[in-house]
Amino acid sequence: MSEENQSNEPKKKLSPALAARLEAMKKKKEGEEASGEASEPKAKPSKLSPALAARLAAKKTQKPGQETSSETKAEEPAKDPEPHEIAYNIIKEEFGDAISDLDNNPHMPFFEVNEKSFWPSIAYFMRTDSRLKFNFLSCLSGIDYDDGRLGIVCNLDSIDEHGHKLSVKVNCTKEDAHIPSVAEVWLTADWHEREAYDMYGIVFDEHPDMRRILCPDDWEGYPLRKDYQVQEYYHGIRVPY
Amino acid sequence: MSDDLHIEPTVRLTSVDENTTILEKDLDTEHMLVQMGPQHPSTHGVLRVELLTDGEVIVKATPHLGYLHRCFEKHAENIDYPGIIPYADRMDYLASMNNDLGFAVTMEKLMGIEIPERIDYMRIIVSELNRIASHLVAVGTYAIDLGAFTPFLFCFRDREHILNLLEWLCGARMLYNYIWIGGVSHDFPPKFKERVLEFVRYFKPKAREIYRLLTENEIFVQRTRNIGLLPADVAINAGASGPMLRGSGVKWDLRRNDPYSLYHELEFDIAVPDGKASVIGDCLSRHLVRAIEIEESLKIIEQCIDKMPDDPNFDPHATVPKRVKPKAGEIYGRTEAPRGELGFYVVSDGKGTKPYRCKARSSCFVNLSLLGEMAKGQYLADVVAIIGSIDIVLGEVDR
Repeated sequence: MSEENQSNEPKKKLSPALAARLEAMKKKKEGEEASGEASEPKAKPSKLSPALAARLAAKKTQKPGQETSSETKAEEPAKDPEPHEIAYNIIKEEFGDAISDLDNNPHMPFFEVNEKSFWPSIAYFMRTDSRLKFNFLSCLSGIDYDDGRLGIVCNLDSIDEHGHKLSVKVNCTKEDAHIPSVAEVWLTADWHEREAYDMYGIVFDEHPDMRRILCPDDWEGYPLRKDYQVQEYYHGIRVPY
Repeated sequence: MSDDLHIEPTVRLTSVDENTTILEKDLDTEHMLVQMGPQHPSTHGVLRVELLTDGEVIVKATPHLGYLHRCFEKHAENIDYPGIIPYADRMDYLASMNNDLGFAVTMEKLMGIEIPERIDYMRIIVSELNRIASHLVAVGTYAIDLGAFTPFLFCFRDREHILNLLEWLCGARMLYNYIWIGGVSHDFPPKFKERVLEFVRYFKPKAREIYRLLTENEIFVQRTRNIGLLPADVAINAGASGPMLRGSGVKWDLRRNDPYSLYHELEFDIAVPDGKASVIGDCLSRHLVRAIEIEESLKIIEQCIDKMPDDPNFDPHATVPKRVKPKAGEIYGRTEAPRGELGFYVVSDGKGTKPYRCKARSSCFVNLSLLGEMAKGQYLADVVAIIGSIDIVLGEVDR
């Protein structure tokens, strides 16, 4: 029985719906490239630059155990890119303008997804690509930026594989609060997306079960939005106290 | 004669002999909806599980949460940073020290506060004591779920010693507010270290006893072995952490893999089942991880007491900032709580003393989302064993 635990590739296959969506997106990307529209994000060829490939090869050979990964990170000279920078470059090579530049702050390096319809395919790429293997979605939090934008922040991690960390932000507007769901890429996203919907009213398209999770189903409004006004009565009970 | 009969797949052949062939239409079993909870002793709080059953077998299990939702995140946006700690206490009320530690470590990283070594060791001692207390409740109540009353009494007898120690330390038995941002609320009282060491010496054989009491108990093993299997790949993909993830054979412990505080200086083993007594990924494995971790925590406490520097003029408030006002920025800090990865995503706008956003990533919340996955195809009675093995605290699930 214990042999089945050896492989780390999730058994859960992509549902036909998501696969079709990804296929459609790829076609869309190719179509854009052919027509050469400047305003839309373009996909760049996924070939690696020789320098990056060399760095990756070096990283693979010295792939340390989990215990030593943090020490080696600190000892590396400042010029060498950190693991999350290498990971970011790979994603940038693949998706080009669909993602923003890396915000390389010391606490939580992240990049933003400019074109939210690409988010599931970016997520799927990040999980499955052998150089990235972001197999663990630590946390998915909703956030209200109070300037008409809502967003989610995903903290990703590659456990038992590469040990690098990276965060991704996806934004949407309050009027069109829709973000494609990644619940089929990471099961963790299932309940966390429901929570973000519950608290911020972000609707995750093609989520398998888009219901409120913590508040009652008939609760009005989204409590963690900055402009939230609590309802006066709930089933005849006065709410504000 | 029966050879030339064409039998529909829905029709069952019940008896055949030379002269008669009895055909019976397949019995159509109806699905039945069973509500388990919200008031049910084995759900460890107020959790409702909607079970769709086919006879005795679970077809689908859907947990419904929110009965204990106390709006931690909304509260956190309206109080200043040090005031959040008592609220964090009340999330996982069985391991308050670990929650405090998680929030304090996150905030210190965001603000760049350096704290003295002695405080780090003090924090590790109290949070490991709390981890033992929490695992004792987990093991004890798990035994009671499965019908064994004695281990529960053994566990609570020893947990009482820990609670007395912590009460002596900060005046509260469960909700401590002891670990502050940048320090702790009180120094160790005189002779506290000796008493902790005394407890460790007393508890070492007892921990072994508790381990053997259940893992060598035939009835307990029958109820938990090969039940609620969770393969490692699903566990990682679904974000399981803590004993859930280690029970599936993944050697992942944030104290070792993403060290915080001074855990990188301490020696301990990551508890992973070896697959001899249990099937890797089943309920028994998860129980074993907790039972082993109790002993590992004792090791950590001993080392901390050895290494902790003594200082007669020690001021536990020396590095506590007068006003917690971090610069604009954001951080996701995570620590290993007894139930798994406890993360805090804190956003500061740099303008005030209140967080712009404070999200708590609760380990139980994520672990509980796997219930449906594990309960599918199991017997109704085993759902109790599976819920118990996840070791949920509803205060943390709902926050």
